[in-house]
Amino acid sequence: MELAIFIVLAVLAISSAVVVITQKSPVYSVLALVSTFFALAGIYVLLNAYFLAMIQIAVYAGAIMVLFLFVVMLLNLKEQYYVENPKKIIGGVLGLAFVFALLFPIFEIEKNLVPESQMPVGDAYNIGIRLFTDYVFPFEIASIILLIATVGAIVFTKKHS
Amino acid sequence: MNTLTALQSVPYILPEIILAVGICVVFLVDLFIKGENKETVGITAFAFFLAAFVSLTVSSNPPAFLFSGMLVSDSLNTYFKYIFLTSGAIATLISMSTFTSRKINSGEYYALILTATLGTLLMSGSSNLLTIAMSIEIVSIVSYVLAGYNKENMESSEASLKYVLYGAMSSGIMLYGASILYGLTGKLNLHEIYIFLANNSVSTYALTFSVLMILGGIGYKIAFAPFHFWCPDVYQGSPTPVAAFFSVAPKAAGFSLLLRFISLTFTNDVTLANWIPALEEIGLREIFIVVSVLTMTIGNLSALSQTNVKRLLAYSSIAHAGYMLMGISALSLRGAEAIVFYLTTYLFMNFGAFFVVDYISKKVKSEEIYAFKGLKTRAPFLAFTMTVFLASLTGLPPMAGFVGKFYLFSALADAKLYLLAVLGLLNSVVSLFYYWRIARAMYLEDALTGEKVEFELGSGLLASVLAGFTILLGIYFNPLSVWIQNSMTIYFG
Repeated sequence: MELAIFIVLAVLAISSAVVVITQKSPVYSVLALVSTFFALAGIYVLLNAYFLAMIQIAVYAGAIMVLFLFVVMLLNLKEQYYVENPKKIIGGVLGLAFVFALLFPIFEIEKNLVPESQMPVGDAYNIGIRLFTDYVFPFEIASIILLIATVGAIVFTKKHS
Repeated sequence: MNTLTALQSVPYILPEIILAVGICVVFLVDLFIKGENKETVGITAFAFFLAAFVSLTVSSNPPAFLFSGMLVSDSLNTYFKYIFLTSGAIATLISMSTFTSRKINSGEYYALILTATLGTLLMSGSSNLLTIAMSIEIVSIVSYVLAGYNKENMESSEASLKYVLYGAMSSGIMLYGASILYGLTGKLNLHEIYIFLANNSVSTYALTFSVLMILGGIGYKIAFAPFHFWCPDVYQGSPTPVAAFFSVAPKAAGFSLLLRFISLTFTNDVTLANWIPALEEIGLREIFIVVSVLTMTIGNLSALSQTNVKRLLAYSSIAHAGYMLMGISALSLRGAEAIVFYLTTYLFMNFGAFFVVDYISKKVKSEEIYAFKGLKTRAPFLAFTMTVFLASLTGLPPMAGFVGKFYLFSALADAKLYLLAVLGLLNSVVSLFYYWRIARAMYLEDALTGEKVEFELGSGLLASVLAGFTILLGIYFNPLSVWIQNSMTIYFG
């Protein structure tokens, strides 16, 4: 049962991700990205990471994607046409080869995964405890990254008089 | 093993905290100064670099893993912190002399430089895959903004965009590699990964793949082949002080991270003589030999045909990364020492070369080699210092670069990598040609105009300090090399 749900979600995630990069209209791309995020949230639930799934939907699928849609509509982006370029085929072939090379290590990983009975539940309580004890330092680094990203965005958009 | 909790770790990261406070203060200072008083913000930032430097010299903490194993603090880390803080301070000084308008000399700019330096400090202390990824991300995000800081300039915006695209790609690759390594071992802490790899056998293919991908992420910061493509465009497009900073601090941080990653993951031997079998299985030494030869050869051969001096220096910095990677492939303590020594000399000579280029291009309004024609009559002092930097970059005695190369090659001879050493020497010979082209333009060719280049006292002082260190470390290098030898005790817990 779990495997069946996982396969459905995985296929949904990958196929909508493909739609994101093949669609010519940016609006459709954004909508497809929303569905990728929903499928990912489902996979998080399968991994016992309930809190992460919630955040994924609330922050990514909700807030950030709405912002994306807003920007796309504000900028009034027309359909994008691609320039045909023979290099693209080489890039595509290399990219596919890379993907297949990436697939093999995944099958090696399986045997060392945490057994399901020992898998902790990723609820807000557990995440909070870990975040403010063992992971407090990366948590603080994340705040610096966010600060500086905000500053960067302002630097780029600020108009000099 | 000495693993400290969050509260116990705070005294260890005093320089980082000072820099973080500095970021906020610089913003505030920018708010409160009025008019065209352009130096104040830069001086504030410089003061914080100085404070962090002083806090580093007065603190004497025993080596330990900090924040439950997220960071490591040992003498190697401390040494690298000196390098980063010095390069941040020099970048601030160069920026203050270059950016004449208050618009660019803003709080944001110096806050970005402070943050980039903070990121490099964290990179060199990371002992956990999570902290590694995040500290690289700090440096990257700041770099994107700094590269495009000159918004009116198309080249600068192009540099920024190219940097973002390459950076996003390599972060993705690195994170995927890290996730595979986590999947194989179930650990994020590098030392715990070492313990797992030493006691269990994992799939060689998966391990090779994950390590290669992590190296890709680090290699993008160092700009080694084949992850160097962004480097010339970004250096050429960025404001020159920023390019100078990029060519030193993130590169040094990448090397310290590389040293840390390899040593913590594959050994717990302080002399770096015994490595676990997994290292042989994935052929790490061979990988580094190939990468270093590729990097220095591509860098040097591409530099030969450049006419833009900044672009030339960008390729030269790729070549220097290649030289230092030779030290990694020695996989020995002497190789590591040689890299650290080389980085120290590289700090002075590369900053110096970029600074003179910056100064001249600002006055002459051109970055092409012909702008340097006849500089011996137009700006005799700067021409002399530039010659010092170029000779040192080539590796000619009695400059610091020569001693650095000497240490590198003797480390290679120690590790019996004679062919690699010969290839490195040949590459140095090639590099002589393009460095000589600048020197020839300055001394043997006639100036386009007889007009003198205006001399500024502060800039002259900075250039002579950098040139002074470049010569001093070439003649009287013993104290530095003793200091580095004492700093080379990597903490394994």
